[in-house]
Amino acid sequence: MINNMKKLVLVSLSMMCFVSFGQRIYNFNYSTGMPIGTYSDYVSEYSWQGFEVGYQKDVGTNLTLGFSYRWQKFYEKKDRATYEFENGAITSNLYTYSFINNLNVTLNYYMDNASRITPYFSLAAGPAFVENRLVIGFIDLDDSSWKIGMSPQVGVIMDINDSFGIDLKCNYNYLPLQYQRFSSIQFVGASIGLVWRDSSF
Amino acid sequence: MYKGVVFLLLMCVAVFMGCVKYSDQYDEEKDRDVSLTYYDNTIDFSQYSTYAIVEYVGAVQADSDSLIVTTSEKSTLILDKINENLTGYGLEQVPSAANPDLLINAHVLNLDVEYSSYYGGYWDMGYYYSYDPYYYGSPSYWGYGGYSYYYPYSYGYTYSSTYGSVLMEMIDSKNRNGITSQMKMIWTGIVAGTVNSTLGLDQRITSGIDECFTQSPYLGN
Repeated sequence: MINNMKKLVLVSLSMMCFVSFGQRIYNFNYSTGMPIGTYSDYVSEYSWQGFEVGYQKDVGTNLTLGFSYRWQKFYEKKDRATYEFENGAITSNLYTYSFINNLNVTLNYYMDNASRITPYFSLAAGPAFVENRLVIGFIDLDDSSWKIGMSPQVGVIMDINDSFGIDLKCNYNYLPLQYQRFSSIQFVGASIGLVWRDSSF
Repeated sequence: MYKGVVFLLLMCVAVFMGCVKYSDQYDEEKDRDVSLTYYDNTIDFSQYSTYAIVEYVGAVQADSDSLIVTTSEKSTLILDKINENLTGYGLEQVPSAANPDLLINAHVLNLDVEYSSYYGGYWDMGYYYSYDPYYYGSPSYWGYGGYSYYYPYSYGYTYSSTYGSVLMEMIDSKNRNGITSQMKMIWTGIVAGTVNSTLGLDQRITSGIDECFTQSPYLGN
């Protein structure tokens, strides 16, 4: 886990080294998520533990390019139940965990708007390190892997002043990862956070 | 530059927060308890109507390279609960000398025990009992037959336990090998959990045994 975190930090640092002119946008969001599809068979509880940090810079009219890091934890405790398998069965409490560490490249389009509310569309894609943990009583089954994921997003920025704003957005997240009872990780998310625009260089 | 450093610090904080993972998932020690059964699905369990059971439950502990077996203090508790479930399934308890269809064995383990996965549906575990009525000083206790405890169990998975376990075994005496007199084990029930506290331990043991038999409706006549 620590080695993979180091990889993500190093990649983030190197991505920050490219020369940037024009406006830069930083965001820090609290993020949530709801599993959907077969992923909800593995963990069905809403995730209230997650965050995202991001950086964007102007690359064209109303267009920004950047990157973001997102961490999301899914967890569910299933009450004591019996699970059958070939030639036997097991009765226990069941705990399912997913930890998603996602580093994305983002492309963002902001709509022209004279008011202090600016809608935007965004497409994020990049590598994700996913750890899944299935706990059956005191038996731990762990699995982890790297996958490439994608996430289209829509949101609005509500200006507080010329530099800061509140960011509200929704997204759909997809990772082609198969484990236990799911064939892919899919979840819809909502997040709220702060945006800081920096026009200086 | 200053703002870039602030952003970098934010990133580091975010990454650090990402390292905080597991909430305390266990409310009580009993939340970790597991009841597990494994059986030979080629057997027609309706053919059995009588059983004999050991007089004492052996407590198995490791001592250097050997295993020490003593009488478990939970012997009566465990045997009473097993008898309750077996008679509930319509089986009749008879003395071991009365040629019972089934022999029931039970142990308490406080070892590291590894159960090896064995896919493919082949049941024969290579672990046979020789019926020795004088083993362990009891006319009804037939113990292990001298086999290593680490080897023979075959399941569809692997797990290791460093906790206390109750192991129940059902042996087919009715269809023993006519030449070697070897008998096959046809059902195993395991109740396992941590034993850091004895609070509620009796209830955890009896509940676990009940769960093993509830998982096994095919035992009923």
